[in-house]
Amino acid sequence: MLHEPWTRRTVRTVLLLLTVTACAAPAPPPQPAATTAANTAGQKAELSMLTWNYTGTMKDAYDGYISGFLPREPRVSAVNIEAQPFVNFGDVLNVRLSAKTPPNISWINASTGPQYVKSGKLVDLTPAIESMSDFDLADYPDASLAPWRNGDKLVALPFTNASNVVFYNADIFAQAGIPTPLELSNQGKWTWDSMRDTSRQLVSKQAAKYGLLLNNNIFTNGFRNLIDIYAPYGAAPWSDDGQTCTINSPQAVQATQFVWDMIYTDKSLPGPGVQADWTAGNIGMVLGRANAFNNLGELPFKWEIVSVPDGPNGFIPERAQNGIGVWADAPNSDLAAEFVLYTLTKDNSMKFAANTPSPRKSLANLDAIQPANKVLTGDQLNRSVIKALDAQNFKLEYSHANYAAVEKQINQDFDARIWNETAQIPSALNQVCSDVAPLLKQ
Amino acid sequence: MRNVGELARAPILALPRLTLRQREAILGFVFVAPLLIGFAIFVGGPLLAILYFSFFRWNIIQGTLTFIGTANYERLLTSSDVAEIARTTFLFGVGFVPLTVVAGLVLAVALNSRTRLFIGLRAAYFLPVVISLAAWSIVWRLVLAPDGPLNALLQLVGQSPVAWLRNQALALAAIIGVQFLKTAGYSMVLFLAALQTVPWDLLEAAKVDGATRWQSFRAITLPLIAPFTLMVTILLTIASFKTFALIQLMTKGGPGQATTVLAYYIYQTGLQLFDMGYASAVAVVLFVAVLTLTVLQLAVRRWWVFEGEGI
Repeated sequence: MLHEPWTRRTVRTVLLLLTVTACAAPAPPPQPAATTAANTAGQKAELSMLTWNYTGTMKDAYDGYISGFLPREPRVSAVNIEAQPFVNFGDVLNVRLSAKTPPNISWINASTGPQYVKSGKLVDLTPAIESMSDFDLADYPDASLAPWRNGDKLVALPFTNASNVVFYNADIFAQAGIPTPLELSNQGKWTWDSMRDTSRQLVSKQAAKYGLLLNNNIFTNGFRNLIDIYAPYGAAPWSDDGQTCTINSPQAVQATQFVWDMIYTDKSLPGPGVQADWTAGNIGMVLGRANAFNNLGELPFKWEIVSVPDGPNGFIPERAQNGIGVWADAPNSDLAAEFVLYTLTKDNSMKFAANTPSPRKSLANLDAIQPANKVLTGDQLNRSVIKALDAQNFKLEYSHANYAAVEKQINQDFDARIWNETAQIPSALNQVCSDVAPLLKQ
Repeated sequence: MRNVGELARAPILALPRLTLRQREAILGFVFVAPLLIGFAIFVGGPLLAILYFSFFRWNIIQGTLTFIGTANYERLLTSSDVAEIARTTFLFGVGFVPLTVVAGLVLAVALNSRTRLFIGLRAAYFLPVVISLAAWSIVWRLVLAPDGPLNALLQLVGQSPVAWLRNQALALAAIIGVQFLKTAGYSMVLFLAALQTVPWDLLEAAKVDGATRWQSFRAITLPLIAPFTLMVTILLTIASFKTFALIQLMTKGGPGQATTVLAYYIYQTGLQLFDMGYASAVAVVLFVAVLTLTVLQLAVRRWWVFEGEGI
């Protein structure tokens, strides 16, 4: 049985302690100042940056930028770079934006760019650009800047100008005894048809497990990676104004059927869910970025590089012009803008060329790209990267104001209706258009 | 300076005379207060916030919040996508819960012995429970890949490979199987604890009277552990509705929407499509569904849960 005085004393004591604890709880942290320069009291600022690649030559470039930037900007003590895998990058960025704790700076994928540009959450870089006398904004093509403008504000800058290339395993081709992509390219016969035929032969001659690998996996990263075949076939998922679905056009049906046949008929292209790595040495060719492999110099087989093949409409490479921007809800936005512009000066853009050419007009040439590229020779760069840069016809990565919803719907439909052995491509793509048409108009 | 005890005895904090029952009740609340406060802050608060935001259109990128009344709920109730996803969620629960309950009970009965072998086997069956869900999901995704070891085994015995995670009909079954393998050990441990509460002398008496093992199990053990069975069923039902990480790591809701369950749909809608208001409405509906199921399960217990003190 409880002793009354003891119980009352205990209850009073506990209640008093709880009350004191509640009152002594720390005050919530102050909201960060949005735009003003930090630390007028003399403390230095730490900037944060979110990317989807901070390895190899990308890391080397940014570490170099940071080393050069810190001595010239004494108000910044560090720039901390965090990398998230590309498949999760958007989710991580969105969570931080919704919590109003964004990084100072982040990369922005070209496809989803319009949604962020129109959000009003990116800082206008125009004042910082105007105060930097040697930045030379005119060196950027208008078409490259247009996606990053929100009215008269320039809220992000393109920092990549990457196209895909084709690497191939020269040892496998030697074993198969068939013309290499380079030989076909030199003869003017390097087309998607000849690539498919080559891929089929590599498998039939048992020289390779698969003839071709699409490195930015169409099953993981979605339909967007069909652009390398869609563009030269004259296909596109939607019209230029983004209002009309065109993924069921005859050209798109033909291009999609082509890829489907390589997977399910020829069995020379890995299907969905198959783990494949070109550097393992059992795949003939891989289509991907020129900087996709950090270990090219250490591969146990001979390799070469060519451009992506031509289609019925000729050579129309895809071009990814991703952006980099400063978030308004993070502090020290002026310092962050300064760092962004520093990384995009002509000299620093040249250093980035080992990863991707710069969108700057003056740097779209071999002289600008070669010095930073320790792996690819001048000839190799000329027939792959430079050829894509010089192309008058190119296709920017697909983007749309409602890209997230549209991409989700298209990928869902492709997953359910196309990437299986019994798919009927024309009717499947008609259904895709039925499902996605309302989303295009939102 | 007065100490806390003296302060507590000060007239300003003098409590009225209370009955013993009242004092015990207050003491009880005081001791659970930390849990209640934590629940209020980390569970109750977010629940109320979700309910609040479900009446708004909230774009998390633009930060705009617009009151739209019940429009999110109307959209949810008329959406064919949601109907399909709700069906998938229901099928997942129907497939996963009975399987795991029965398997857990069978394993517990089979391994309810103190021999070293059985102790080792119990540990082995419990091992998947303690393995990281992320590692478990990724490994099984590789195992079930078209060129994975499971298909390699099938080809060894002359069977064709199966698209476990790419076939719309099979993908959900595969997910249920993977989740079942991860959770069966947990169910087993709960039932093992339940079996320890069955009086040994009752079973011995039944044996002396000529009852078979099955008769003893059916007439004595099962009724006596019924409260535990109910608890395990409720816990697993709630867990099945919360399944997210497994889907995210293995199939991302695909192929198509074949493995998209409500929890995953909430994530997609809120964080990938930036429509947090609608995602909140779906979350509210999911909460109500789980609560309703739990209440239903508790309500029907009188028909099958024996809570007497003896035979």
